[in-house]
Amino acid sequence: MSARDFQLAIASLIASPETCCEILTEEEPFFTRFSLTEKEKLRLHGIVRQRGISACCSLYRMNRITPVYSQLSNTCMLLKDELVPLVEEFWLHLTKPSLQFKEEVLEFGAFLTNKISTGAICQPYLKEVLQLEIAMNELSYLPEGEHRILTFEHDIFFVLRALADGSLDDADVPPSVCRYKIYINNDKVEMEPAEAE
Amino acid sequence: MNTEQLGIGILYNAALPEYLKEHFEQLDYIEIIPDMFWSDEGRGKNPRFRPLPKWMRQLDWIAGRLPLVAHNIGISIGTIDYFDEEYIRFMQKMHERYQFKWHSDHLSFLKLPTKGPHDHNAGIAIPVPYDEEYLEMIGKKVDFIQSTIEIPFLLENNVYFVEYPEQDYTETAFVNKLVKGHHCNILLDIHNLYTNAINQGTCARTYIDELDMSAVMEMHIAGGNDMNGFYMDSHAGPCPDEVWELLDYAVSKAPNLRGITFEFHESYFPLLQFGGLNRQIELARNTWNKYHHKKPAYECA
Repeated sequence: MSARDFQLAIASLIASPETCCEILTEEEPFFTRFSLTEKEKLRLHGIVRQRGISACCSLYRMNRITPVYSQLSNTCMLLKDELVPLVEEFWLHLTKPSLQFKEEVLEFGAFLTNKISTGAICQPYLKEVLQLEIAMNELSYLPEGEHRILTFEHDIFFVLRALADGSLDDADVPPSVCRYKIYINNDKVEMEPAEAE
Repeated sequence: MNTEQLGIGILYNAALPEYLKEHFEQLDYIEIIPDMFWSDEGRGKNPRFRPLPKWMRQLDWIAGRLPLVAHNIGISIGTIDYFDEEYIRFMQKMHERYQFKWHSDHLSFLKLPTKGPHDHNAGIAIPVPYDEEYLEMIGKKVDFIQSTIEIPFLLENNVYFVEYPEQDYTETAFVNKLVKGHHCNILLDIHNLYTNAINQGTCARTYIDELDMSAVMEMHIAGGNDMNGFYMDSHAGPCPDEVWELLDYAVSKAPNLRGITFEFHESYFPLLQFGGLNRQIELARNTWNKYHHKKPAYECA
């Protein structure tokens, strides 16, 4: 059990600079969470005193944000300065990630959707851009021919163009309720108007 | 196992399809990270490993033109009380389909077991302590892998930012014992040696001198960059001059080398472009040709 706990302890240190500080300040709670030998405790003490632990923590953060940033790139752009605090809150919520892109993106998407529905995030267009990127992510794991039907409350093409060229903050995007069929054709995402229900 | 010499390869990434359409003749093989080509739906799911259609089409295209080598990131050979035999058996199926020349993974742990369908991913490959306990545990896994997938299995040396105090072995002694006791081979990552030399003050040439170089079947080369006072193994574009010098030194001592693989992260493709990539391949080939005069076994039709 000891060696297994040792690996869990290292992983928890790398995932959290705050936890590294627990050891540095010699607060006991960290060690009470694991079954460790004295040698293993000494090793963990040794690790957190090396300057390289900060590089490990930085790498963890970069690797952990990669699935979200690469698959939900427009969502991340919309969130601007809110992104990092939200991601850090999400990481506290999901402490044992699989880092499978599909799972991580779906989990973060569900986390954001909940924030939007409770009004914790009020960013205009976020709900529409997020639902589009979640659908694109889901479709990328399915055979071509599968599709999703989404309803937008604004001209989503206008929103994406303005986001890309940095003019969205000043843009006046008129409401425009539209349903689109989203699918993948020859490796490219296609969107076409969907018939009304 | 008598594995053919391949020559110069490149680690596949999402930026490469366009390049390969025009330049695949420049290469002797492609190395893939198999984990990129499927989605792991989790233990208990059927099928558990679901191929990604777009990526599999690209893989089939490549497999029709060049030999393939597999470089795993998911075996997590260093995890205590964990071994995903289902993953290894799926890799065997991939090998049956694509006839990998060899396959490899890292001498580290990445996954931690959970009670759920998915493992806990530690986020970075964490080196194992070079202790007797780990030697025995990893050796058993190497035996299983080699008996299941009958092609050479290589372990890659680590890049590390922290060092465990009071280990039983040095990394080279640990690797040499694995090689001698379990007949695995070595993937020597030259850029990892360079990164460790900068950050830890280790001597890369001494590492090469201490290592059983007769077991080195593949070498990795790459570029990196600085971040917050550390040099990172970020695969950021072209190799530094020092990596080329180290490569030359290492290749001169590796009689059983089968391939040199250039790694770069897809986000750095705009820095390299087609010409920059060809230049890295050309420089690697110069070193290869200097010490390995045999014509690569594979030639494009």
